[in-house]
Amino acid sequence: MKTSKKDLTFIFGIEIILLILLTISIYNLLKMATVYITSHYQNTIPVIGSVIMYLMPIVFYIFHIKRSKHKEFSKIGAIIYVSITSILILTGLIMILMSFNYFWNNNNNGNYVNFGFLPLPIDMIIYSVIMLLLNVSLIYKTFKNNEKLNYYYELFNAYDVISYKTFNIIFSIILLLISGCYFGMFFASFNSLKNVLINANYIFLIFAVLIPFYNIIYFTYNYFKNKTYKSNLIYTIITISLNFLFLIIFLILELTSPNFVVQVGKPLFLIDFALSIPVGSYILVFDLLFTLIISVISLVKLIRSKKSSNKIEESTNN
Amino acid sequence: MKKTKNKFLFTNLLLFSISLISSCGNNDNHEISEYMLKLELNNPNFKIMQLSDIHLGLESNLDEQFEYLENNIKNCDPNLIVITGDTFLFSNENIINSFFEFLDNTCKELSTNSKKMYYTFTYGNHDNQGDYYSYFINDTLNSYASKDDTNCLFVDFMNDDLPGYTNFTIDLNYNNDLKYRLYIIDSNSYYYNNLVYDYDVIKDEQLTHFENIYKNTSDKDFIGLAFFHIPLYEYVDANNIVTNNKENSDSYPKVLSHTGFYLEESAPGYTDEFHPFDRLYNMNVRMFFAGHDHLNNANSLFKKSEDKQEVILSYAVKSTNQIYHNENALGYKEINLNLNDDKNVVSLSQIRNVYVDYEN
Repeated sequence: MKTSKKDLTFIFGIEIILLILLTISIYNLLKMATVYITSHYQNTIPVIGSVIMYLMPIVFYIFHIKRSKHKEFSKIGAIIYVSITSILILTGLIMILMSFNYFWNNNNNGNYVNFGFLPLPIDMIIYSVIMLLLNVSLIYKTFKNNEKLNYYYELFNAYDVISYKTFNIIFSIILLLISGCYFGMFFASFNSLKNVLINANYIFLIFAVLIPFYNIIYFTYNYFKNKTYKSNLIYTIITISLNFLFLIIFLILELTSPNFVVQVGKPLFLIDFALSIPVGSYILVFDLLFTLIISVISLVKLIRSKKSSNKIEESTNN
Repeated sequence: MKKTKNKFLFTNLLLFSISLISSCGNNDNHEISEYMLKLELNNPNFKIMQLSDIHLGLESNLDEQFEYLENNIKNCDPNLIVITGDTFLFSNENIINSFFEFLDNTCKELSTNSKKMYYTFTYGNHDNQGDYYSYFINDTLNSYASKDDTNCLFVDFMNDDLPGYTNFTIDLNYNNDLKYRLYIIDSNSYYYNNLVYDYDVIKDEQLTHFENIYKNTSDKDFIGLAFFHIPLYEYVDANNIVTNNKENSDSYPKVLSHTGFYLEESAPGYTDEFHPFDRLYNMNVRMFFAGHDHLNNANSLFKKSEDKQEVILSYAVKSTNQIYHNENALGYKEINLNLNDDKNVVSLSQIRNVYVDYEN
């Protein structure tokens, strides 16, 4: 069965929503874990509830990718998946509701969405509602459509320098988690945008935390099918340009103001200031350089393959 | 042509970045006198309560923490509460607002016609690690301090040309005579140093600023008390002397006696190149109060060299049970000043560590 445009738009929309939830969740999960460990494991029930809530968008995203890109759920598989995730979501939700007093007393209205009028982490409640709705739609779709859906998926093998499939998948998931975390930091940075008034470097911090944005483009681009030489070329050039631009910004900041992360990044680089090591900056530099090198290699390979295919074409014509 | 265009774009980007970065130094200057707060006192007995390393954050149960702090404030019944940093960690605007509302209300409730209870605040390395802009705490405190009949002693200017968020003094006058001066100093947070983050220090510009305040003071017959968060290098000396049982040795620096405990290594800033101890000493500081190292709460009578007077180097008593702590050594520090006393010497008997069981 061919997937309609409407279906594709729907799936793409879900992926974007899940991706945004995932990025905020990874950052908040990291934050919650850092706070929980540094505060000597206090308030375990609300923390476990929150951890479940922040883990679920990651689980949902990975399973969504699995079913849309690789293999659709069987009916039994869908029931098992929906049952387990729904139970986990409800457990998390109950644990959060049970901790009403805790959230009320410590003014914790959610780590990102902080409306300030309800003594509950509203972001987690929104997550749970979205995810439960997705489960309902999954069950509906699985039982309505007996035929396997023909989803679009054709990997543009930007990482074909690494030919091991398993390694490629693991590597992609690590990239996704890292980039998701920084993208979450990007969203969180809007909480303290007023810092620009005090230190103009702050605005560049937003650019700096956007460095792994490239990885998000990589994942998104992979969703499109019928990739042509031209689209692959445009994609590679965009990623190289973006990486190069971010690299220049980052180098200017590092060279002119080596303390810039200290000045402006304390709320965002959680692990760095817990361990007193600029882990966040090192990961950014690694991500930048690695993806830049890979993109350049991909570009060279792309051009070479085009040339060789042209040659073959010419010789066949001759 | 294309190359010229690219070069132009690159140069523009570079200039734009540098101009933005340098625009941070575009500050206003303020009069020295604006950083000097004064209290005219009628009673010669003045008690300071030092609270430190409270660490309120997303995981804190504020009701429980406030109850503990309130009981301690009531028991101490001080004239002034000085908070020496790390009040917040992974916090948010709501928590900060709640804390200062609690503190302000408590001080108001416990003030009487004959005795007003004040509070003041300086920063630790963690205070700005939360979901708010970095001047939010100062904006909050400035708004409390600007109220009529305020209990909050605080002043800072966002666009001044000084590093740190607190750089002011509080003068304690008795019978129109300056007796004690409190230096409320932000020892900053972190410093990128050879691939790691070290703790920062009180900067040269800040010390020069305090020296200017000192120079502009006509009556120099007072005792200074410095309150800051990150310990100085002399704290490391005192800690090593006591833990190695070398108290009262003949060589300098020396510790003459001490109370309280050193239970962990001191963690000073990345450098001693600005000589904060010596410079503050030259501004009459004879009592130094730091926070930061949660397991240390010792008060040492310290003599750095033969030509220098004895001073007190004091670590705060950790004031809540948040993050790492010694269960048996939570509470506060009491500093008792006698404004009638004309002897310019300090004694360990003026300082008392008060430990209060958190569970009770």
